[in-house]
Order: sequence, then structure tokens, then C-alpha cells
Amino acid sequence: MSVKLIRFLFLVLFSCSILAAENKALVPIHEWQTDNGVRVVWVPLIEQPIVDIQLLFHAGSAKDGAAFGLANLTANLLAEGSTKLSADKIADNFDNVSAVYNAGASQDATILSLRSLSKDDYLNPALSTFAAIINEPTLPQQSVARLKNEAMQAIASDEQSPDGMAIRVFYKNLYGTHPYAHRPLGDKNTVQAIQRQDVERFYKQYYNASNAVLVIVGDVDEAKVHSIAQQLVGPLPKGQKAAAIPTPTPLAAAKNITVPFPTTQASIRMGTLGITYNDPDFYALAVGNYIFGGGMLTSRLFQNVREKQGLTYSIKSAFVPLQVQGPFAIGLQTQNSTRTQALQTVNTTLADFIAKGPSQSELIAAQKNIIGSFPLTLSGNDSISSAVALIAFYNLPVDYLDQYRSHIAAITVADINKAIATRLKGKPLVTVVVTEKDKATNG
Amino acid sequence: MFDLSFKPLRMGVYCTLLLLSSSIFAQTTFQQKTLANGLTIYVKEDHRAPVLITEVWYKVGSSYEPTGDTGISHLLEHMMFKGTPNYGLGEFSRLIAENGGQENAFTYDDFTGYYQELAADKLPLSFQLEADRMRHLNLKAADFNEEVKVVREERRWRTDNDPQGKMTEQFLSQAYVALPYHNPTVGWPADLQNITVGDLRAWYQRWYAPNNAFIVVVGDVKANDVFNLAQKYFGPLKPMTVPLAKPQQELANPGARRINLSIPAQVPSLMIGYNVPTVISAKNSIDPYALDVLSNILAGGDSARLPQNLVRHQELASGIGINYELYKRFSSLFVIEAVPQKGVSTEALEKAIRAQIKLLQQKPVSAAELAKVKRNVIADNIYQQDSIEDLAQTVGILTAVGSDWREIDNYVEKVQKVTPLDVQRVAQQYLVPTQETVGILTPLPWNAAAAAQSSNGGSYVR
Repeated sequence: MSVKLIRFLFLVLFSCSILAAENKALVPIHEWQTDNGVRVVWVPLIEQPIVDIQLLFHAGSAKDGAAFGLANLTANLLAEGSTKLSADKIADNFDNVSAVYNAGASQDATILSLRSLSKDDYLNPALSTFAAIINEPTLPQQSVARLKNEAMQAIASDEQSPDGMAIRVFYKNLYGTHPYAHRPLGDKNTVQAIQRQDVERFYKQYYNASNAVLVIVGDVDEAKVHSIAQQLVGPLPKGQKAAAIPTPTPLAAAKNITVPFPTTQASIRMGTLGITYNDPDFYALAVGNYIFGGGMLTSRLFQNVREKQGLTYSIKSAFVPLQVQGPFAIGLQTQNSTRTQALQTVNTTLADFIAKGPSQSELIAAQKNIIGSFPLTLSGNDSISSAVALIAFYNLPVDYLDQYRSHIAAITVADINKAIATRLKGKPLVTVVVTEKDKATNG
Repeated sequence: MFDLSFKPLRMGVYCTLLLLSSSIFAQTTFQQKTLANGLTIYVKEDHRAPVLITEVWYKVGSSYEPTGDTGISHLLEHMMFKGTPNYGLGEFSRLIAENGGQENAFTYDDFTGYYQELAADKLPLSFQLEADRMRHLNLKAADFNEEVKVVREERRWRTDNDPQGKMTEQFLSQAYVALPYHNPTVGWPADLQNITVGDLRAWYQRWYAPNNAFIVVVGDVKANDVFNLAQKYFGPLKPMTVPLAKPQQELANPGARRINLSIPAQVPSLMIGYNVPTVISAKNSIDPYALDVLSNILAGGDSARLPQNLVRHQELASGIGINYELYKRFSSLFVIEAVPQKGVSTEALEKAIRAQIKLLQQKPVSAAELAKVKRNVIADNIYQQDSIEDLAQTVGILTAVGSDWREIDNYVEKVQKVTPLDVQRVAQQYLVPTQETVGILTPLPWNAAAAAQSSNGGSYVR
């Protein structure tokens, strides 16, 4: 029974004393390179008898080429067989020691993860299976065909939802020919066209030491963590770092797209290009977006569209940072007949925010929330592992977590106004409305 | 994503298992105290981090609702954010946000709950605000008129325009015959048109009282401090006469049921459910635990029988899972949910699932399979020890349905006692035609060309 799906945000491992001691790092991050050049990041946490391992490659769906869905399919194929193990044996090996293995691709990364108990009789069998998956996958033809079918079902499932369709059309129109234009799952026709040799080529090109980051968090000591790194990524060829993702081209003109769809509720996505993790305006926009549309129950969008008019259940805006400019996006749903009213309200709210910016009291309220809730945002080993993987993968400063709150505290109204002016003022927007056909053609 | 209020997905896969295998074998102990007005507070001290979660639970939800008023508990949950004479519209959320808190609420069939996550020294703020809205809610007509529109949008979003959401709602409406769980928590569409603010006021007066509520706090607190704070803020509230919850039972022989739903969709799906007992309703106390083991034998991981045979070997399903809630006030359902592999009919998939069930009825599971499930139950628990939220949530559910926190450890112990013969017996006893409901979602022809064209750039550009 999933009573709440929101991830919870507890600092499991840091005692109060660590938080209180300002000079000490919030998360004890250690890092080094393996002989073949893999960056390894280790965070020792001994309070839970758990180890979380993430292996990331710069091999996200942005590297799919024309074969949209290839990165994700390749990641999913790894557990389908290794030179010594069948797919059934791999599944058995993990389940028998209660290890949890996952694989998939985002736009920027392929991510393979393993969660295991830290006791050797659990951890060691899990590690040897994980190592086999990483280094000796056979990518069997039969599984290629099956997983392509599964991916096409997942795409169909995505496309039968108004939100899923709106998101797809939004990315396609915002990014055009840029590799962020498609979803990591791919499209049905591109997945259908993928051949086993495409998968093999992708694996050989991108699953290499120069392209990898290994993150190990949990109850392992220094000697063990070095042996884990050697076992998992030692056999990887040195290879070459993946080419940089090209910079997306800003929209030349606004695009308003209506997608006819059998639905009683319109799904709306609108936005433009946003930022990277290393953007100088990162913190100003984090605060600015909280005020505009990010703050749960309190943002201007929430107040104007939901609280004052009852037009939607869920409304939110976000700057999604990626390797190169990710999107700034606003999302909501409203019944077909009120979509014009809702869109007008969103546009007016955005125009007003761009023109006048936040008030000093809004700024203070936002800073209080973001800073005050920061301790909640590093939950157990799991979320610390995610935060550290982000730092390592995107080359963020190693004191990113330690400095986060002081960066937020330093933001002024002028900083937000300047950042919003640079990012959003006068920028053409993509607006996608997925709605019932009659409503669509009546405008 | 942010949800002010939400109806949990009733058919999420593996959820019960995750939740309840979550907090065990660490000898989970809560401290509890009941105030003179009947409000009980459950506290688990956890000093690893300077934060806490606090949850106020009410023993009311959609299974308490009469026909014509379905969805009223959830509507009331939304209205709980609309202010009191002491804290006007928006003040509650503004104060929580400015104090670095995160908050939300949830409604389900047997309970309604409100929570905040906060720094450990902010508990008085939560208690002050929650005590205030427990008895002094404004419930203004103008606010209700806006909020009911929000809830209708929520229903369109979760159910009406989500093929699987719609399938699940209609499946449950048939699978529960004599039990109120056949009504959706969000409410039937007509009821969301007809419920009035007057109905909500009466509902609030009837159920929102200290003696029909309890509080769960987990985090960096001292239990005695929490009890004292609770006394200070909630102690002055007067208890009310709360209606006695009447015992209800599913029919012994509800009969085979079948629903064919044809709606615009792209992916067919299949649900096969059986009326089964919960820990609360079971006559034979081992049965729910044996059914839980059975669900894991079938679908508790990639090496379980259904993924191995139906997904990998036979390529009949592209996804498959089982949902079984062991903890409800009345009895429950054991539901197998599956999506056929591309090009496979729901008939072929249904037949293959039945063959797997038959196998379980004919032959005891192997010792190795059973041992694997038992190990995983313990491991899952360890994995989730660090989630204070899961612990609070689990204790809340157990308490709301009439069990309590001691069941967390008891669950693990009971699972360890399940034998291969228990598993075979419950398969024979419960997975039978007279207890069965089958739901088939058949996609209506979809204007695939138009949709594909749109996704390639928009068929209609203004």
C-alpha cells in the first residue's frame, strides 16, 4: 500500500554534532582514480549494514544518435546474460542474497546500481554477479527482441496518458534536432529499428573507464572499497571519454501546439531552455523558481491557478539542470473547457513575475524554507548516494552540499530579477496542450 | 511531485510488502500515552538526525462513507488546509513552509492523515496548528466551491484519463461485493457534484475529535517532551461521541465476476483478483502471512515465478506484479496485475497465469524458494530501517485498522513460520473461482496516426 510516494528526507547518518560543527563536511566524501582511470567516490557510513553502489557512464539517451532508446535498451540488456551466467542465474544470484539491482538511462547518464547488505556472505556474491554484468555481458539476440517489445509497450503506455504525451511533444518542440528532443525510452519506430549490433557498438563505445564514475556509499572500509572498485571497474578498457553534448539552440519564435487526444482533461506543458548544474544563476533561479512555481502549496502559480480559481489539482514549475541547458518547464492539467482560462492565468503570472520580480518578504520566506528544509533533503544512504553521484557525475564542487545553504542565503531580490531577466524575459515559449479533438480545433 | 492530498494508488505493486517488511527485526518499540480526552500519541525516538516526522491520523476514510457521499473524507482533507478563525486561509502552509517544513496529507479507505517533516525543535508549531484545525476548521462555502473543483480535476487526472486508473476503479467496484471498499476514495463523479459544504461540516463534526484520532512522531525527540507538548496543545480539546464502527464482512461466496472494459487506450491489461482475509479478518491467523509469502513466490523479484516464466521464458507478459494488503479493517484482495507482451492476447496471458496458480495448488513450493522469500523479508526490513517516514506510516496504518505497532515484529516472526504446506493450502483455499474477479482492459481503436503525427511536431499549430 503506497500511502505516500514522496521520498523522505532524513539525515540518517549524520549525527547532530556533525551538523553543528560547521567546519566539518556534511558528507565525508573520499575520492581517487583507479589505474585505468575511473573516478571513484566513497562515502563511508557505518550506521546501517548496507552498501549502495552506483556506476555511471556518460552514456545517456543524448548519445542515442538516430536510434532513440538505444542507451536505455543497452542498460536493460546487461542482466540478460554474461559469459558465465544466464539471465535466470543472474536474477537468482541477486535475489538469493537480497541484493537489489537496477539499470537504466537518463538524458545524460547510464546508471547501474546495486544495493546489498554489507555482510560479506551477502555482499560478495552480489558483487561478483554485478561485476559479470558490467564487464562480460553477452547481449543475447533473443533478449534484444524481447526487451524491444517491452520498451515499445512502455512507450505506448506513456503515450496513452495525456501527461506522457504532453511531455514528449514538449521536449520534441523545445529541442528540435538536439539529442534532448527525445525521451530516454525512445520512440516506437526507432526502438523497433534497433539491431543487436547497435547495442554492442554502444556498449563498446561508452562502457569504458574514461567515461565512468563509480560511487560507493555505506558500510565498507577502505581496504574493501578499493577491492570493490577493482573488481567492478578494473576490467573496463581505458577507452575514450564521450564527446560533449552539443549546446541546444534557443527557440527563434514561440510555438503553440495542440495535440488532439481522447481526454476530458487537457494536459499543458510550457517553457523554454533553462540551465546546467554549473550555471552562475543556479541559486538565484532555485529561489526564484520556488517563489514562482516550485514552492509546494505556496507558490504564485499554485495560488493563482489552484487556490483562487480551482482550475487544476497539480501545478508546478521547475528549472531542470542537465549537462547542457535543461528545460525550464511549467506543468498543469485542467478540464478541456477551462484550458484557455488556465493558460491565460499562467501567462499573466509569468509576465508579472518577469516584470516585477519577487518581493523582499517572498524572498525571505523562500530562503527560510529552502535552508530550513535542507537537512531533510539528505535522507538515508540511498539519497546520499544520489546526491554524491550528482556531484561526481556533473563535476560539482566537492563542498557543494556544505555550501548550499550559504549560497541560498546570499541571494537577493536583485539577483533573482537579473537571473529571471536573462533566462526568461522576452524568451519565446513552447506551449503544448493535449486536449480533446473538438476543443483542440475550436482553439 | 507535490500532492496536497491524494488517493494512494490502490493497486501499486509490491506495496504492502515493502511497507510492512520495512521496519522489523530491530525490535521496534514505540512509547505511547493516551490523554484524558482519548487521544493516543505514539513516539519512536531516533536521534540519528536533528529532524522529525509528525503525523495526525483520523479513523475515517472512504470505507466509512454512505452512498451518495463517496469522496467526502477526501474532500474534507482538502478543506483542512483552508483555515480556522485563528489561522486564516493559507496561514497553515505559510507557517510550515517558513519554518523549513514539508507537509502533505493522504486519504485512503480506512484513514485520513496529515503530516509535517520538520527540524526537531519545531514540533510545538505543528501541534499548535494541528490541534487548532482538529476542532476549529472554518469550512466556508466560498472556499468549498473552489476546492471541490480542484478535487474534480484530481479525479480526472488520477482516474478518468488514466486507462489503468479507470480499470482499477471499476475492478475494485466489482471485486468487493459486501464491503465499502468498492467505492473509490476520490468519490464517484456524481457525488463530487452533489456533496455540499453542509455535508462536510457534519462529517467534520462527526469524526474529527481527539478520541477518534492518534498521533505518530518519529525522530530526534524525547518521548516525555512529546507527551507534554501533546497535553498542552491537544489536552484541552473535548472528546466527542463518535459513531461505533460496525463490523462488516465480505460474502463467503461472492461468485465469479468478470469485467470487460473498452476505453481509448494503447495498452491492454489484465487483473485477476481473489477475495482473501487480512490479519484483522482472518479466522486462521497464519493465512494472511502465507498469502503474503505466496505473493512473493510468484512476484517478489526478478527470479520469482511470474517474471521468470511469463516475462522471460514464455514472453507473454511485458510486466507483472501482485498487490496484497494485509492490513485493512475488513478483508482484502489478492490481485495479480499484468500487461501482455506486445502482440500477445490477454486470453493467452490469463491462461498462463492460471497455469501458474494451478501449479502452486498441486505442488508445494520448494524449500529454497521459501527460504529466499524469508531472507528477503528480513533484508527489506533492514534496507528500510533508515526511513523514519516508512516507520511512522506503517504504525499509522496498523493503528488505524485496529492492530498496533507490535505487529511490525510479529509480521517477520509469522512469515518465518510459514511452511510449504501453508502456501499450498492457501492457494487451494482462496485462489478459486468463487472468490475470483477478472478485469480485462481492451483498448478502443485509437487515432494512432493523429497521435503519432502530433508527437512528430504537432498536427495542429496555432
